[in-house]
Amino acid sequence: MKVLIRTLFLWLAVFCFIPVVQAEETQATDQKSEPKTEQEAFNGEVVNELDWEELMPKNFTLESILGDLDSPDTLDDLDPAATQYMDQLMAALASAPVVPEMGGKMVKIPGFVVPVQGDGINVTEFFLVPYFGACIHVPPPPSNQIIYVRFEPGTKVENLYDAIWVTGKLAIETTAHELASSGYSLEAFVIEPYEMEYEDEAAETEAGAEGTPAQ
Amino acid sequence: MQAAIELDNLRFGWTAETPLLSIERFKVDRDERLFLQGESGSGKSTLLNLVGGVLEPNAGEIRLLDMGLHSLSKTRRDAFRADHIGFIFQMFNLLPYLNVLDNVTLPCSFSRNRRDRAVLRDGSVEGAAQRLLGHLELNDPALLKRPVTELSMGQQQRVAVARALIGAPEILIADEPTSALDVSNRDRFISLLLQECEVLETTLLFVSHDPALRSHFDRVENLHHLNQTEANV
Amino acid sequence: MILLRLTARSLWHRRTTALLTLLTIGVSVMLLLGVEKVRTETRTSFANTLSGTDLIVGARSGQIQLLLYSIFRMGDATSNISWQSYQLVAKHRQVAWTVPISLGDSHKGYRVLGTNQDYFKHYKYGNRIPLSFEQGRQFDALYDVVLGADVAEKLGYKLGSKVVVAHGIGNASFSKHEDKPFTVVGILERTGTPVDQTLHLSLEALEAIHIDWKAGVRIPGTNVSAEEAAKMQLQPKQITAFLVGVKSKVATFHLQRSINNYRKEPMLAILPGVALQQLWDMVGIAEKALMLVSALVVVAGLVGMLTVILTSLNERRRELAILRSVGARAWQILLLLTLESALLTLLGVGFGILLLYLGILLAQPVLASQIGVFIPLSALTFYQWQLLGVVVVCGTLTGLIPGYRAYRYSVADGMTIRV
Repeated sequence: MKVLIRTLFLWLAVFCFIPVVQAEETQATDQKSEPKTEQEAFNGEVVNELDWEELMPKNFTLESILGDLDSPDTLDDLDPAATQYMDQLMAALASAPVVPEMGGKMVKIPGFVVPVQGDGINVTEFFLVPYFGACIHVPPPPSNQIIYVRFEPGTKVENLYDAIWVTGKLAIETTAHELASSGYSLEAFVIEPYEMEYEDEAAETEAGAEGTPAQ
Repeated sequence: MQAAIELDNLRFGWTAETPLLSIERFKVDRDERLFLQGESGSGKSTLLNLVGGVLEPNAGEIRLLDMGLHSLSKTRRDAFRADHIGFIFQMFNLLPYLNVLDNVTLPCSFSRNRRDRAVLRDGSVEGAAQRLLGHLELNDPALLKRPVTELSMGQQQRVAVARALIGAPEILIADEPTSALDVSNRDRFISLLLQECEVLETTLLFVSHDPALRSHFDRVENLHHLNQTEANV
Repeated sequence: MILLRLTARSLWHRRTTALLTLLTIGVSVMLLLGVEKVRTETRTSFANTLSGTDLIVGARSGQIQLLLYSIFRMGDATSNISWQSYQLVAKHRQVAWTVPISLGDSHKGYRVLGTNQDYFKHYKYGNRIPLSFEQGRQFDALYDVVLGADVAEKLGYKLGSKVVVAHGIGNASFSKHEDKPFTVVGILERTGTPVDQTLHLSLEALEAIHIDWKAGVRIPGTNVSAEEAAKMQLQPKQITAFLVGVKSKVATFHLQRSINNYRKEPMLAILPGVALQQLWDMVGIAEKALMLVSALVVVAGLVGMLTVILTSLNERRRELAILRSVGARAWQILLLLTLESALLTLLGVGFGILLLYLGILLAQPVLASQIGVFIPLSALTFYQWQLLGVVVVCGTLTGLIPGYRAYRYSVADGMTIRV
């Protein structure tokens, strides 16, 4: 149980603390300070290369999720409070807030594919997630780090370990139920494989080290 | 008149040490019909291959229709042969999978020259074939579509003549064409051949070991006498 | 072109041998295309079986196993999940709909599925195509049954037919249970999925069939009649699996995780797309091996052709000399032989395509009923055309070997052949 909480803590650190540290460096979402960013254009619209943390609101930090709950380390594994803590944590992650300004933006973002709908050869609808294994054995990312992608022509998914670049228009879909939870969806125009040089970084990310793939 | 075939100081041997042929001078004029007597093994096949441009001599010159063969590349020689020379062999002259007509018109598919001449003379290649076969006493139109394997030896040889002469090549080389025929067919065959060559003004080089045929020809030569290799001298 | 005519005529002259060569190449091409076709069609068929379902939940087993038995009716579940656990998940705030299913029975070889009316509302296949009825309607009364297209056709059932659904084997030994016959009230339209080979009943009806069994040995003299069974408590206590639709797509992962971590009962929630991908990963190696084998068979076929042409070359030296004498260039001889190779390969490929479609026609019904994979008589894919292109190119290049040989012969022999 402790191991699990620690792992989860680490995941959240990845998502929340690093952007907090970088808050001074990153200015408006339009401008990028990273030198490698190219401003591409698609059908006349400027394409922004996106980092996954840009999809999380600035105030979505560990503290805001945990609130006044005690630090996980002080809890015994079998303490029912630990279970409750976990449940609350998971619930918060399951309906994480979105950044409303991202809606309608033309973006290019890398990630891994979790297929949803396809005809056996091509996948036409899938989840795009920042790390591999989100559906199999590692804890899933917060819901604002999952994008539901639709790509009409379909893309061949040779294997799930390969990351891809997705270029398309982001949208925010709100399900009108009593929860009023929102999530990102994307209408994709271009799908390309992700270059080899970054695969080591991706592997490191999976192991829980530092950095997101786009870095 | 232009010479049809001219050989000058021709030397040929499969190896340098053993020359097979050594001919100082040999000339056949245009429209001449020559009987060349040679035993088997005397090198006549080799000579025909040399004249046909298939083999290259070790030394000396071969000129056909005033064209030196040495000045032509292999492919050009092939083209020259296609345009200007017709061949008849002892037997198995014809392609078994084509009918008579297709066999006769074959050279026209490989030589534009001959095709044009045939069309010019007879309106179409098929027409030329029919006319030639008619002259060679193969008049039956049903014959044209028959597979060649159904023909007798004599008929086959006559078809070979038609094929060799279609499109009026200037030179016709016949290598033992009658050796597989019986006596009665033989004479008839030679008469028809000579007759047709006269009409078309074709130079004929008729090679055979059989001296009995000499009587048909105006000019007779003996390869043994022409060939000046050590064995002969 | 003269060379083509000569090649064609020459081949026709040797048509017996040519036909055998065609057969060799044709069969090998059929194998090559067949393997590829079965591979892609199987994937398509499987992928088209379920659509629009976000999660499948069953007792904890392997991902692929759960997928196979719940949707493809292959294999069996290791255990069931309790009705309470199912209800708990069904009431989760992120869940939009659920469809419970219970499997384990068969009728004359066809699977029996227990479910509720939500099945007909939410089960989709292909590109989100819902189920539709060719005749009739959903089940309503206790002893109603809805048949898949194949079941109705193969067993000759119509609306109103009586079906005796019994636990396990079939009618023969259960003559006493003719007292609980089912009535066909609906026949579904053909879907090209395992739905066609399934009989659909309500969960309650499934309970009703099993009442006597549950009791173990029947006490002599007391049969539970159909009417009595109907009055009994038929709420199922267990189900095999259930399908889930979520309200907000991005919540799928978290819901999956909560189900997987549910402490009171071991359950497994899978994303169908992912599980299917895993299945292909597993099968992928076998597929590659099969492709390799069939490629080698094509090579064998081409080598066979090469042998035939090379052997015939000796007898054809005379023919080549004649061609040379009538004016064929040496390179034309080379081309002639290469053309022959190319023509044989092309015809062989055509023959192979014919054999392929013939094979599909014959195997189609067998495959559909045995493993639920429907292989349509569809056109060849671009990839398959590419494969054929490669075969033709290889066949043509093979022709260069006898072509070169012939070229050398013609140059050496000239026009005089030792007869």
